[in-house]
Amino acid sequence: MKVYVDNKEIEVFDGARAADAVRAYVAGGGEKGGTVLYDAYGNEIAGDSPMKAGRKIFTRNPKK
Amino acid sequence: MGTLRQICCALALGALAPLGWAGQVTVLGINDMHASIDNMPKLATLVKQERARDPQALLFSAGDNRTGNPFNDMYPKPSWPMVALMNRIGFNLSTLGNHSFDAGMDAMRELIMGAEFRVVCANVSAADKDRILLQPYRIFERNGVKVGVLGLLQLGPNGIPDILPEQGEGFTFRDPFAVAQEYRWLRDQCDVLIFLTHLGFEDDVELARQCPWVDAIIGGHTHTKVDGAHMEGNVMVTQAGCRCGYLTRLVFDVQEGRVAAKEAKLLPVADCAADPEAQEMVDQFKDDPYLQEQIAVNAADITEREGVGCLFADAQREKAGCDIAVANFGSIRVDTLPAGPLRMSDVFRIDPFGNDMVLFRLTGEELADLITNISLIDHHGMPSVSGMGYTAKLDRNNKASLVEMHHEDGSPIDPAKTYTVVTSSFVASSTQFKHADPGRSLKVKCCDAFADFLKKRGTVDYSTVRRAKVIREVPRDHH
Repeated sequence: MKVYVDNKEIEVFDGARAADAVRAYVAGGGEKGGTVLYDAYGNEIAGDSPMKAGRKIFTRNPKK
Repeated sequence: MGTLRQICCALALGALAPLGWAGQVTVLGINDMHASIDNMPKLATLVKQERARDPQALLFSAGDNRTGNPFNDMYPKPSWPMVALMNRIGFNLSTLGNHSFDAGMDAMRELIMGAEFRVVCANVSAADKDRILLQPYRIFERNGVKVGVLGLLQLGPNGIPDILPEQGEGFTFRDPFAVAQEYRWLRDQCDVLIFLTHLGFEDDVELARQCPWVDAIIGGHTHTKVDGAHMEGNVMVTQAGCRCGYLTRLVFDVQEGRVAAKEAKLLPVADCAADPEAQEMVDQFKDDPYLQEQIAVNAADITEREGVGCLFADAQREKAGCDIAVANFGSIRVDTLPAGPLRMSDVFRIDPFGNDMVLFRLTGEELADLITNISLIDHHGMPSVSGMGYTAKLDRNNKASLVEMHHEDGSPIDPAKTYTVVTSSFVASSTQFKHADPGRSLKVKCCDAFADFLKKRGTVDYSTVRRAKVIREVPRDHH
């Protein structure tokens, strides 16, 4: 399924979690923007947050 | 922006009255506790503190109370520790999560019957004969305020929740968005209307758009930490992270049968001291000898890491029922395995990662690409396999090139033919290899497949099993 990490489209297996998507993003040459994962609304999410097709997540440093 | 809207909403409608004032209700929401029994004593303290502020406070769980800790999940009555602790803390209600189905229908029935709280889920039902006590909604009365709560569970593209298909047998699943609309009449039956959902935050936002007549959504599934609430129109959408890290406090002021003001706040659980009585319960549950239970015997010393790797890969192939399994070098944490009893603790020692199994349909050519590229993500060496064997050359940079691949009977693997191949979610996401099939998670952990395999076999002997011949350009101990 296609998901988005830091606005880059990533192909990842059905049932993948957020950490899997980030791994695939990094394996494909992407650079993480930080150590914490966020959803498109700016909420922090856990690495085992389930992904679904079209979901956008972001890697950032923790909010201060 | 959501928090700003929330503040404006509260200010515009007037500051909330002191807690406990008639016409005001407090609801505490938590989700995806995932059997974090070690954190439950702190949660107990926080709930006690909240109920000291408002003795009428309600406490709800948005699902996935179980799955994540063998002391809970593998208890003789699966997941009973969490239910017992939730009873102790005084939960009023829970909805189903996708992991509610993990231990099967009988186990679910027993847990629901043993719970002192009800379970609501409007889009899931079972036949009467199965005696699964699910209600679509529940109405509470607190401080003269009627609080209606409707439960909803997510469905995947295949029309069932994120579960194994066989776990859903006997249940009927309906689209949660359509079912939510069928309960619009509930709005007129209560002063405060809440959806208690296990849909995921983004879907909760969409649900709020489609159901602007609901006051709040207490959600789960995506392990999202919402600071207070996200306001979607006039609907508060909340979620409290996961694993008992946080609790959301929602407060509603009701005047003349309608919510006049509302607010939400995220409360950290970690800051609290452990409640002694809840801690005593946890200590008793963890005294269970589960991890020391002998599940198999290793008949002979395995002195090469690949032997353990092949055992691990065989377990995955059998569980997946597929042609081939590929386990990366780093997927196991031991180099040898002495002869003797094998216990559950050994399973978790050998594989502590909690990776899921992922199934691909790969051509022989794609399989070769996977095997040669795995070594790049795992600088320790080449993978162990099941259902096949191979010869590879490994250069000084750990870049592999395959010399040949063969089936168990020695016949060559056809590069043009398609095979079903299982590997871990770590390999599936981290390895860059050519594959037309994106793969799918089997929703089974590699360690669970390993434990099941050992239990079934009873006795294993992998002391002489070798399936990979690796020719190193530079010998391993060369400096």
